[in-house]
Amino acid sequence: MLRVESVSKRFGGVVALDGVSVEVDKGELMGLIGPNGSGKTTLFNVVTGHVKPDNGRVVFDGMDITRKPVHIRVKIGIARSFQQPKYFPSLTVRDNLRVATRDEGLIEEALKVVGLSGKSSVPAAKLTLHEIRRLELARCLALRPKLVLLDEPMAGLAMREAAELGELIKSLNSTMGLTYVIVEHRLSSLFKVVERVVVMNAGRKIAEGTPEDVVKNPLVKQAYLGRS
Amino acid sequence: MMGGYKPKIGPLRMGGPRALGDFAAVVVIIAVLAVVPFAVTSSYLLSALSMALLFGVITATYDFASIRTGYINLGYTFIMGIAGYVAFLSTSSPQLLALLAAVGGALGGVLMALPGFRLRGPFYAMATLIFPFVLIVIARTMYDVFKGDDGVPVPFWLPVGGPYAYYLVFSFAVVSLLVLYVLIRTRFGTILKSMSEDEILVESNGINTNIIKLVSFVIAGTIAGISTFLYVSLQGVMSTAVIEPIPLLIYMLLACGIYKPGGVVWSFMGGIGLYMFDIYLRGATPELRLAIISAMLIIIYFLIRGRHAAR
Repeated sequence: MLRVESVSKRFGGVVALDGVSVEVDKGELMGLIGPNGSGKTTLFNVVTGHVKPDNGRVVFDGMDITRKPVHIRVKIGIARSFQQPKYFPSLTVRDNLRVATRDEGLIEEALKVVGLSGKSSVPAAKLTLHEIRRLELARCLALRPKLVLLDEPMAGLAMREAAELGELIKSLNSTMGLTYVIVEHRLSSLFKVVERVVVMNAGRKIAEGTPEDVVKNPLVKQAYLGRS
Repeated sequence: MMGGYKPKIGPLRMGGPRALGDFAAVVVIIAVLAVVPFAVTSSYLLSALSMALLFGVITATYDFASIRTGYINLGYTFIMGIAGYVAFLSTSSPQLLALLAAVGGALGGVLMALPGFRLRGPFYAMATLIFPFVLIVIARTMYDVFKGDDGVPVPFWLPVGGPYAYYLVFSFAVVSLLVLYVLIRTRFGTILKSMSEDEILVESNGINTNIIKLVSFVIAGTIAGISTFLYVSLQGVMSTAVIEPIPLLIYMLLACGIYKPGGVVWSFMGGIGLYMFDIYLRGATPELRLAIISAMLIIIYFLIRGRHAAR
């Protein structure tokens, strides 16, 4: 479904991505992990069009989208959430979703799925972090996506809340067939959700495999724990 | 699970108590303004009030396109200039004048929106500030065409100072205000408001924000263009005075921030009030006028600062 081919991106002297290639299959639940500054969010930004790569290609559903603008990528089925939760604080929960779609039925359903039906008239500024994460997910769903990129969706949540969100993502994956790529630092929570993990370090992909495999990989241990 | 819904056009929403308050304000304002000619007998005052009404409409369009989207525009009088010159340099027929002013206003709106494709925040504000000054320089340099500060004489078609002119302006103001009021309560209005909060997120919702900016400025420009046509018709001359951003832009900024950013009704009222205040100030000494306008600038600074700090 998604193919990132040899993508590179520099910010001045900093190499954020160095020839990264990643493939995501339809219906897959994939994790993307790595230490801070390893290029995970930049990779997300390249896929969604928020950052243009210096080299390489992004192919989605067989279409080269490398130079397509953000809004076109959303229209063809790529939705994302952000590391720092993004929402419109002065709008109600329902109006936050109205920006994404004019389909009131879809909004209703998205709110119901994430458990925010009772808060539809509440200004988003009054939501808790847990609810904001769910609102972000609902917004993604309201876009009728094929691929959802979630950037640290569990950050700042309590253990129980993170587990609930993980379960919700898994159930949406199985019932709706949505494809997910999730960046997350809480590895124990992430590994309960995803089937495959890609590990990045210093702008490069250093490992790939099942959660059980990657935690045993010496390169991954080195990236997280250092040489000693 | 979520694929069975057919897209529907977003309904017009009245919103909560605040929106109902706005609606009640609209009704009260319209009722009061409708009876003004019965209470005001002075033709000077009626004419001044007519111009204030038009300035209120222009302020409301400024609120709609600029303040609501977060693209603070410091050259909005450029739209008035383009609309006025396009109309009054082309024809003398009142019907055609109105049409050409609308087209000119829309064109001005397009030109004002274009820098917003690349620039944001203070960069956009500074870039737009140049527009009216360039137009003023052109109008003065090409005196044979634009007649510089003396201005292009306007054909007489509107009996200024009488109830006819007032009710014509009043009807136009009511229609314009209702159009803007309805628009901000549609999904388009929600998107405009959301753009001032987080444009990146709006794009991430699959919306081409450049189109939104363009459309909002074209709508605002069209209404502002017709307002300018009536405004200039009341003044009798289309000159560089119409384009001078100071103090008109200061009044617009202040009017849009009096109650809350993004409320076209309150911006309309603020525009009327400040225009009348400006007429009153014209009798004061230049020093006092400068001091008061400077004080207004300081208030604007804190309003804008407060708005950004609140995000």
